[in-house]
Amino acid sequence: MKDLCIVIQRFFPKYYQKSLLKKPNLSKPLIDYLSTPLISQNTLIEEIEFLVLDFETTGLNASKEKIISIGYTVIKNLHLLASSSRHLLVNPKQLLKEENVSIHQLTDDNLQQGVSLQNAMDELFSVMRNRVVVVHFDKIEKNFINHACHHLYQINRLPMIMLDTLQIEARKMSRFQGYIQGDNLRLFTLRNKYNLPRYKAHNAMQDAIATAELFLAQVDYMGEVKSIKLHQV
Amino acid sequence: MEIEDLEIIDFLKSTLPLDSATPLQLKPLVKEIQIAYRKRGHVLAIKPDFLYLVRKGAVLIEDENEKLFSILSERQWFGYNTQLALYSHSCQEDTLYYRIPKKLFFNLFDDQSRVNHFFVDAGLEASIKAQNIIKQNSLLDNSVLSMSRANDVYTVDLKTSISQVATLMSDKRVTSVVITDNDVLCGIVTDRAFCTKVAAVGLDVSHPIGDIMTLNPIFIEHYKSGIEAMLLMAKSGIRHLPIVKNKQAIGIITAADLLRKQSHNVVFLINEVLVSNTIDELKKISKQVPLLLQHGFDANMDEHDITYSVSSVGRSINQQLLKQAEVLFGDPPIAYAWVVAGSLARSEQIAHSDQDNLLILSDEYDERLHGDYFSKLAQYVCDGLNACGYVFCPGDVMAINPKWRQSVAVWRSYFNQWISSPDPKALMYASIFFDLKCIYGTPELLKDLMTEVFTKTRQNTIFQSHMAHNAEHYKPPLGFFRNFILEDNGVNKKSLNLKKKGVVPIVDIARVYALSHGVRAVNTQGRLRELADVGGLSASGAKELIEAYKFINLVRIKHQSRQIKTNQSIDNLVPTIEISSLDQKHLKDAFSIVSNMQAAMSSQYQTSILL
Repeated sequence: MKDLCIVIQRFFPKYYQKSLLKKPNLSKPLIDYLSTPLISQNTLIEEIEFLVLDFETTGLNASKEKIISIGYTVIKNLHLLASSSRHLLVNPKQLLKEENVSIHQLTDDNLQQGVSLQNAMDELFSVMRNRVVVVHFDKIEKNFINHACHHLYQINRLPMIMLDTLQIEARKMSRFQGYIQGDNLRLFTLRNKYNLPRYKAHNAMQDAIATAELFLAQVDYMGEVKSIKLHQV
Repeated sequence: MEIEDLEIIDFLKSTLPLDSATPLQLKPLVKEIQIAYRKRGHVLAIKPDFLYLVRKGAVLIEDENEKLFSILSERQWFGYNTQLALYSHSCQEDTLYYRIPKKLFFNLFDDQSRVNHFFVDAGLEASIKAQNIIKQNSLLDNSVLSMSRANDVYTVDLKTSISQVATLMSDKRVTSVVITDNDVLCGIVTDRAFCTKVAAVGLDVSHPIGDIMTLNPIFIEHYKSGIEAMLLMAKSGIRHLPIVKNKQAIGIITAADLLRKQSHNVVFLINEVLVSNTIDELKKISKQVPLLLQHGFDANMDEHDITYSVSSVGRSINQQLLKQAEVLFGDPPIAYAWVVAGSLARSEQIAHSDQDNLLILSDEYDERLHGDYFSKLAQYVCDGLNACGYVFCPGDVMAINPKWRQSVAVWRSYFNQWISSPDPKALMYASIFFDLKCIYGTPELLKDLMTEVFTKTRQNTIFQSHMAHNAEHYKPPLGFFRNFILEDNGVNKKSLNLKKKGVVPIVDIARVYALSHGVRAVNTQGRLRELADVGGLSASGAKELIEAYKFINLVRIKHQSRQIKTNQSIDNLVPTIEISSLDQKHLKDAFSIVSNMQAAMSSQYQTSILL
């Protein structure tokens, strides 16, 4: 039975989305999100709007740790729109582990001012609608989104198309070199490789922009951008 | 976390001309930015509605014949000039760039702002915007009416005969008349009509003028500016524009009127100098000198032509002051030569600089008889120059100093002294007094003296070594690792001193070689060219040094031109932030050439034995 569910989720996303809409207590943004079909794999990437996303979390394990901030930006016509960039602080309703404070420069006080997880997710649903999500290293964002959906709405797996700049690079590397060294795939290293500027700041919005620029560079390296379709990425 | 905390804003703040933008302007600007990436070799599609900025990488611009036009690097803009949009823009490296809708951008910065001027400067083509700059600072800003020769408008009724009009135009020496019908403007006749519509077709000259007039001519309202008249003429291909107020023709403006009124025109300025009778009048004209530099730069004039023009005006101000002095104090009792030194003598002035001048009097000079006359003359001219912005020389090298107001014999003894015992003070004087030019009086007094002097300097290798050693004093500001050695310009900006560390070393090198090879030219580029001709320098060495000189000086002129435009006081300390990375690279090349040349000079003149 569980296997069947996964088959439906994978191969019949429309039915899966419809079935999720029957769940109780869904928020309005989530209903809107689920009512909108996912972008077709045959769409030209030039015509797709991408939501580039970055989470800062208290740790790697989505079931134990919390999201503390969300940064995102939008790519339209293969141009990053600075005006679309946002940074949301999320109140995790728990004390932060000390060691993270120095990395993210977010203190408990900052986070007390943040929005609740539910509000943050609602904003995310509304900006994810009709868009393809792009992240660097999708384990974090995918797991935390799914965990939040489970926690808030008993949805185990949110239907979405998520591209991972790390995987795009890894695939390309394995094609050309056959092996990959872990460190070579860090955002910083990859940006350097594509002659992208070095950023000092380390926060969700700046990292989302950094990822978006990397994505634009990767796409441009794939060939004649005007003819590339989503499934080729 | 707000968008204005992003690193984009730091980047913009350190990008010219946005360093002058306020936070209130930058905030909305950041929001309008769109970021894109193209890999090396890709051609960018330039949309006319956008302004582009290189964030990282390099963009190559080539004209329609694939000739290199420019290479842009980080922090450089493109797409501001619509004419250039037709050129090919391709990525020379992997390039991350920003684009901003022009409309939004220019809404944030008004016409008067530095930001706006920056793009006008950057535009190399004579765009309408470039003309706005001229408009601001020149007489072209004035209304067309004030520019036309007011009594030149002649109005005749359309029934007047062609022959009558011809007689009138010939009598009054005008090239056009305005035609009215019941006192309402209805046409214009220019001298050309008499050729094409009368003589060429054999028309009877008793016909009314209305038969040959241009009906409903293009006209201009009296309050419009000269620049608008100029654009209107250019657009319509005409040379005469009736000036209209309340539908009545009250004047006429011609292309020649506009040309004459271009205050930044060097010929115009010198003409004004030559008709002035008082120091006050000269003072007014002298205020135009910085504009000469600025407009010369805007018009892409050659660096040599700009400095030559500025120096010409300086020379004519000297000459006019002397003429005025001779009117005041009477004819000179004995022959004299008014001699200038320094950058004016070399025709290398780029702005008002200190005055350096001296008097060489004929050997009939007797202080008891003539001293008073020349003292008064020198006082008048030096005071006049000071009032005109050529301030008193801090080193006192001026004709008001009795030491520098002497007969040929005394000057000869000075030079002999400097050449035979070259102590530091003598060498300092030598470097001043070997760049001399007589600009008024009897030039033979200087010429004959210098002929003797040059014979001595050519023979005296010890003196040459001392001069060469002295010329090593200022070194190009280039460190061991090809980094710039920067100075503080007073407002905490790291700057390059492009006079002392840039131009002066080249001027000094040229002087040393000129002295030892008997080259009589005074202008630095002239000296280098003649040196190449007589074999004092290799042709390629001289050429490289000239190129280096021209480039350094152009960067300096650009800097001062920017200061003039923004009403700042002029200096030679150019902040590196003002210099594009490509220009910085070229500057380093130029400095290397100068360093190599200094080293070659040291070994050639064996300056090390003097230490």
